[in-house]
Amino acid sequence: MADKQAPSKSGWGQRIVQLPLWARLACAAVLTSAIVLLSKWLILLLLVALGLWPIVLLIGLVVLGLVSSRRGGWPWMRAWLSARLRGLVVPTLSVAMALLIGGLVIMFTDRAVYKALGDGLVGEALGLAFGNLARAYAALYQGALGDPFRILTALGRWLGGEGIQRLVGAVRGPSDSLVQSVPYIFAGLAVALGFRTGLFNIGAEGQIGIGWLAAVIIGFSFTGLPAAIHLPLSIVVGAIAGGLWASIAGILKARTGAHEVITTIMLNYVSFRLSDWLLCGPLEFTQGTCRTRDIATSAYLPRFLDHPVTLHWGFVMALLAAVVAAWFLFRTTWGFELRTVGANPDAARYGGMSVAGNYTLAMFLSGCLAGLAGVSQGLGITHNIALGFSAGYGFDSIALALLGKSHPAGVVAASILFGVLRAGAGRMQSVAGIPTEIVQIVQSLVIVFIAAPAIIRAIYRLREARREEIEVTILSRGWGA
Amino acid sequence: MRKNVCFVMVTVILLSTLLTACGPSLPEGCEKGDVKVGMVSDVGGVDDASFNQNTWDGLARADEELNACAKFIESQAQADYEKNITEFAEQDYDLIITVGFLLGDATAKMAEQYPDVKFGIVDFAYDPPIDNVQGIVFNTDEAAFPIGYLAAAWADMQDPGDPQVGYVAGMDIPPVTIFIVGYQSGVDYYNQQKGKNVQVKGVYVGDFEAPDEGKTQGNSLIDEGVDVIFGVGGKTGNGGLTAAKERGKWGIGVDVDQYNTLPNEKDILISSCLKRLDNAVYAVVEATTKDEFGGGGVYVGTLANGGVGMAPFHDFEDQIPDDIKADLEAIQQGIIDGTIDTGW
Repeated sequence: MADKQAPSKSGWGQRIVQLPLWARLACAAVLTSAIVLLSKWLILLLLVALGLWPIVLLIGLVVLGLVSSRRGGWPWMRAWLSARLRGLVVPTLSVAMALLIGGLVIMFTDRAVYKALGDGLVGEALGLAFGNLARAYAALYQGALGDPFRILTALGRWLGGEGIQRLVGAVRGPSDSLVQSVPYIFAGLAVALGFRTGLFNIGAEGQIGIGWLAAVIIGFSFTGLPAAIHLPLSIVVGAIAGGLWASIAGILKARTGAHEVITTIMLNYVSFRLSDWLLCGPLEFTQGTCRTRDIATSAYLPRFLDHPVTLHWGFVMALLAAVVAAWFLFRTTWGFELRTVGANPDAARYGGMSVAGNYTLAMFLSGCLAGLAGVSQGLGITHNIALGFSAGYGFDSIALALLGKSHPAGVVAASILFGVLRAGAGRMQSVAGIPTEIVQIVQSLVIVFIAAPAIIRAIYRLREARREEIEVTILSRGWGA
Repeated sequence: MRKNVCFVMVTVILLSTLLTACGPSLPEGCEKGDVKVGMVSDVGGVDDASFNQNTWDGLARADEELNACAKFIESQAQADYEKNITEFAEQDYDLIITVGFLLGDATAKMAEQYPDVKFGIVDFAYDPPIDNVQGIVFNTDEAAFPIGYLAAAWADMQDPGDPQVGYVAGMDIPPVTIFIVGYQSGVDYYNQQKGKNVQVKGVYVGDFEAPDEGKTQGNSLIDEGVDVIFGVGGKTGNGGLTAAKERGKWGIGVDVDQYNTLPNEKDILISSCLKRLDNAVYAVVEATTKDEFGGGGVYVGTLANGGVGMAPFHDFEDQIPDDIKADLEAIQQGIIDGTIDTGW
């Protein structure tokens, strides 16, 4: 866990660091405004790149080839690739195996296949089975990443002068995947932060609800505020509300040693019933709907493009949160203290760190992140909160944090994977008639294979993992201790 | 060897996916010229044994009998409503049916976004109406009225000393209270016609998915002397029926003929108050295939058009006296004629 050495600055980096503070801030301001103004196009580029990922991959390989020709040719390229990709082998194979088994389930849960088998028509049965499989996964792919040919034609038409609407429609798939991944990223970061401190935050689902509620309440309570005030206010209030909700469990653990697994689960129920009452009672807008009023437009998380692309600034917030979380955990003393408490609370106490204080801080931050998941859904997608808002993100995020080995980068990658699977599920159901439960099977299998990499290693006879790769995620301490 | 086989299978899957991912495709089972109908269900899935399932049954029948092609997407959460409707709209579906009043907002928004797509929404109607949306509502009070009469008559037969009927309801929302008002009026009518004094007691649990609470409430109602329990609230109502079964009382089902869907309680079910969601959506699809879509209007399921009704008596067929059966016929005719007022 040694922090990497600071990379040596060269050329540009050195020059920027040597500028006076005001100049550096000015540069940052210019860069940020440029990015914000261009955000629509940057996002469109990102979505098109996602949809046309084979082309992007090819371009990347070509660039790599060019670079490597200056640095040592093919051996250098092979070494560089294998160093970078080694960590991806097991996850990729896990996903592939999960898709394979999910595919077997799809193939053999169709009555028509068994009927054909029963009639002795093995060839026809197999044909039906593979047909189901191909149709299902094609639909899953198209729902999650769009149809590459459609994107290419739309791109061509746009460059040829037609409006942008056709291209926007073509990248709906990648957009849905990223939109679905946003709450996963936040909630996954929340649980991962907890794990790093040795805390098992199962209360993410309840904290998401509290954050969602708080943000929406601020959203519709004020009208006439400029967006520059209203939006940050709603976000901050939502995050802090989630943080405070989690702090209840944190303080209980710090003061009394009450195990956070129990307190957070119970607080989940309190959160659910509280929102049930509020939504069908005092906050209900139209009688009989159990839904609040819509928030003011000044509190919307802006969307980058028009319908049907619903990607909103919450996605950027989520990525920023991951960056900040990584920086906090690995580059600050606070983060160091949290990780130490997680690794060994007794050693931390011996080293002069306040274990109780760190537990409370960790639960608060974890709750803030989970609250942000609710905020992003409430301000970016639904613009209100209604009964039935809970979608299980809080519980899936526990698996996500494990998948990502509690590292923010891993959490983002795992969240995007889950977002991709969820985004494709609707199309798979409507086009191929496959129940969405198949996607849940695939998701669960991915978790199983990644959490127990020995299975993949045994099947594929991969080399034994190096010692550094075996990282045990410290789950819970304190049962009876 | 194992490794190679696995690699090969994985590559086969990936390749077949990529190959078939290209190009548009008609949904499985659809033929050119079919009216494409998509159903977006609420949280709960199409196998919830009542609401969503009943609607899907109607669409499946339309798929077989008419030149229509029906598919569905189950919503996993509130945030999915718009996304699922968009999925069907972007696939150029002709008619999208959304199931449940919770989808009211999403449907209105999407109807505005896609003015060329026809929409139908179950248990909701818009005021002012939206041009390309047809609301589908049910005058379930018209069926609950004779049900109330039947319940009162049965309680009177079984417990002439102190006849009482009751209900275990889900949430206190208009789609539920309409049942209760009709039920109550039916009991009042019985009292009026026969000079009796059957009482009505009941409770709103506040949730559609609380069978245990429904059972507890059912038991307290039975403790107070209730003889027949009308379970009107999804799984909560089913809990009330369980209580009736365990205490040797009787029950009445809701939405579908629960004689068929509740195998444990079927022998105590005198009847069920039917909300013919399947007939309603079938009618809307049929109208669409004939280019007679009623956009901007409301399909009202009534006793007259088979949108609501009473389920058969099944095991109690012989135990219900003929004069009560005749009364029920007359009542239903009276409601259709407009001579009897259900009080809603």
